[in-house]
Amino acid sequence: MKYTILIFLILFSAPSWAQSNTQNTDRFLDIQELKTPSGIPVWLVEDHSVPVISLQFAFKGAGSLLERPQQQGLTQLLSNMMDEGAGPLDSQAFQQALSDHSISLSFSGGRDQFGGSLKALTIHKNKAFELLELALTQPRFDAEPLERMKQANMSRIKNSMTDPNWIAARLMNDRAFAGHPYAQNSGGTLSTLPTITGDDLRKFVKNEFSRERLMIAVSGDITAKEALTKIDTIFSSFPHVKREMDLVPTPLKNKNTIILFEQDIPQTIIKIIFPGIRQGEQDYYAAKIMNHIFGAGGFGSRLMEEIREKEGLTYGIYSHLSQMEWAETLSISTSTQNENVKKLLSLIKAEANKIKETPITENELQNAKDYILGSMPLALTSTNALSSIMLSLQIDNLPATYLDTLDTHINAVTLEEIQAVAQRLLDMDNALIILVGQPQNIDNTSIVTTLPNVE
Amino acid sequence: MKFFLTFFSLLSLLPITVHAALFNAESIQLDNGLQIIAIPNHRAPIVHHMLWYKAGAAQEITGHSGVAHFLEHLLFKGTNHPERPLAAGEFSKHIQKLGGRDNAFTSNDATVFHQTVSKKHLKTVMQMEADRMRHAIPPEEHVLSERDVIIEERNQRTDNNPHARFYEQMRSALFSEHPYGRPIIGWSKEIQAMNSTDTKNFYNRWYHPNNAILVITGDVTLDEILPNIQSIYGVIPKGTDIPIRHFPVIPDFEGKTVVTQHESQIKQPQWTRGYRVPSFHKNKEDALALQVLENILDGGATTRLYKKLTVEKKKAINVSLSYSPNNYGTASLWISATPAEGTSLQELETEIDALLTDLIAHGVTDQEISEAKTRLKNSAIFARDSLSTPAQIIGQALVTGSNLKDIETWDIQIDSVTKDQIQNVSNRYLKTGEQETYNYVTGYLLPKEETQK
Repeated sequence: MKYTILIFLILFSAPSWAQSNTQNTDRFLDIQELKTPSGIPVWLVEDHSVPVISLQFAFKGAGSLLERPQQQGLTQLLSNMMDEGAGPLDSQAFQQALSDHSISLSFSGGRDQFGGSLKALTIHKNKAFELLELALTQPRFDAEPLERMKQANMSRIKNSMTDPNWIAARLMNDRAFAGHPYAQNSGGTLSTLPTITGDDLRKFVKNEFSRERLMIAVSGDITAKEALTKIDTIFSSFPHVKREMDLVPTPLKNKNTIILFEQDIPQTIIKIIFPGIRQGEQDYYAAKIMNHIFGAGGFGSRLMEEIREKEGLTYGIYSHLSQMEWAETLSISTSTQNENVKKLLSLIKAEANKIKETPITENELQNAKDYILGSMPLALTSTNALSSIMLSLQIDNLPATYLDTLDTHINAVTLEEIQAVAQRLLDMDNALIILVGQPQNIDNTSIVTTLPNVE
Repeated sequence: MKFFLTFFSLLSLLPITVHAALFNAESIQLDNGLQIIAIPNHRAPIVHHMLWYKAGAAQEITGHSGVAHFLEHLLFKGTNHPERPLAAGEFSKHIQKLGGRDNAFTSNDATVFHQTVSKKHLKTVMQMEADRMRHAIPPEEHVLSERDVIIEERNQRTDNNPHARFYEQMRSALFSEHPYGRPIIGWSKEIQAMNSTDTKNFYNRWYHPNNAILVITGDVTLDEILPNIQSIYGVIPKGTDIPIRHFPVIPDFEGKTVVTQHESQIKQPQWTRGYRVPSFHKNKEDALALQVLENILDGGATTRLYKKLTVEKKKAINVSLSYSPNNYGTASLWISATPAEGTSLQELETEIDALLTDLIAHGVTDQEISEAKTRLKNSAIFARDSLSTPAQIIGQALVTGSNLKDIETWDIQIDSVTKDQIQNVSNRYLKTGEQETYNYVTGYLLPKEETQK
């Protein structure tokens, strides 16, 4: 298998070109909400422009957050093993069947869900659906590929240990979500991976893959009728299991702390983490726009303008709103030469203060809205992108009409709301800061020498 | 909803018929030499606009590495256009305001600027890109701060990363005395010395319509956009004295060349070998055979390298082979492998050499060839399931000396590769063991040796 990660698009867009079409009946994306004969909900966008079909699905809740500490990496390993043999086909035979028909099949273990993605040419659709069904209903988890995948994961971890960005992300999760399963290493550790067995994987599939958790999105060169029939064949045998999670939301931990991991490199990797905001909260759309103006927008964002364009201190600086099932953050990522870390941190603080204290201009607000709404169609350029968007909406509990009406929410945001949400979110004294490198003149750091949940 | 309704007309083209062009690109050359490519894709009402200059890092003067890339950055620092001057940084901000995205990149052979916008803004984007073809004069203070940005870019991409520094050393050894041996971003010391005279000279030498290719893909046809292209790009005067791109012919190595790099951060050793092999431009027939061979050796989990070394023999965690034929000068082919726990790099190398020796002695099977060709041809259909990929493929091929016919009929040409041709390129380019001369460099990336306590 290949290390493919499902990228859940940041849903942050709306139609500008659609605005010029004034009919209300015009939808941004013509999502059909369907149900199979056996009752499985499916979202579909038919698009016959290229002879390609994409199917993406997720079992929401069946993610790495279910792993016990000694099982870290189980869902990662499961995602590697789902295409390593099923039914009568052993690992090589299964891979050969995919390859002979140019079928892309990949699985991904996220924190909150287990996902899968199938892409095939129309001429090979039947084979593609057949192999997906086989993989999901009769996975083999043979010893040979299992050991091979464990070795590949351990090698990946050893390789990552040289990567300062990976180290910073590992420390960020460990500290920001301390005490919650999100703090664990979903990629597994050098000591947990060897102990995971084929039976562990079987048990996870049996207990956690249920109809209640299933979400499906299909796009491309296929009709509704055919899609529904195929989906029933593939998925209807999963059991109905209603499950409550015994987890509670985890607020940001280790606030007002600077964590330092010393590494002999010329540049320090910097991550700053603040408490975030949830979709559904009143300030959510204001936060999206504020984040765009502050640091998510790349060139033109305030952080990029001040710190890269004026000062030449970094190649890139970005802010990012992230939302998981049980936690949400706003984070800033950047890097600079070791001697400039202090200056860069103080510039970020000055920018945070500025957007909190001084209202942004009408012009800035309008530009941000124009971009957010105007850039929406840019996300619709491939068959996979369409199914990926639909799956993200379902995972985030959003309606299929979400993108059709997003412009109303975005356009309603005011200057005052932007300032208020900046004051709520950008509190530098409440941030968790992660540094990897050899930063100079930084006081009060808490130095970490061993990476948590890696070895 | 509009853009899923009208495309049934395309359906007739979709079955894999041998004579259909892969991308249905349209082409024309303006009087000032600018080559235009339009690739219709009516899936969404958007366009991807790319301007390719046939000048990249390989056109830099020795001792001034990084200038092509530096200039790419400076093209975002405003213009002194007489009618529409643009302040530094305004280019990208304006594109964003239009709901678009833009960026640029530099390769060995090209510098490329690209934007994705709603179709209705295409004319604006053309005007902005055309304006900076001849009027980009960045203010001096921006030149200096941008040089600092590039130093940080190099730190981030290369100096923080032992794998990147190793690859840089490998390329430098493989292409010693050839411009392809320089890092595109430049050597640290040379980046620090770059100035606006360097970039001005490069700009004036190479940034002209007759040294560029405009590729537009999306919800347009050539007929529809040609009038605007004529009035916007067509009025830019032809450049004179554009140099002919010329590379030294470098001999094979008389001795085996090995790069051994020990790095304190490395926990997982890595084996790499780079071969100098022909590009599509230098030898089309060999390049096509090498593409099929690449896919036979590394076309997935069931092909030779992974199957033999990882699945069967358990000597490698992973192994990959990559060959990119799209170079104006000579190309390179890379094999890279991570040893299994308990396997030394030497042992791994012996296994890889044995596999290559077997390949040369016994060739490949008809079935392997047929499977590889199918995968390659299907990959061309998948490429159409993207707005920007066809533009990248066509732009990259054209700036490196291919023509549109070669690209549009690539699947047919791949089909025509014979077993003998594959045998022939294996034998000529992938030889191992003692030889008179060598076309490759072998590299070992290792942890720092522990000092005895």
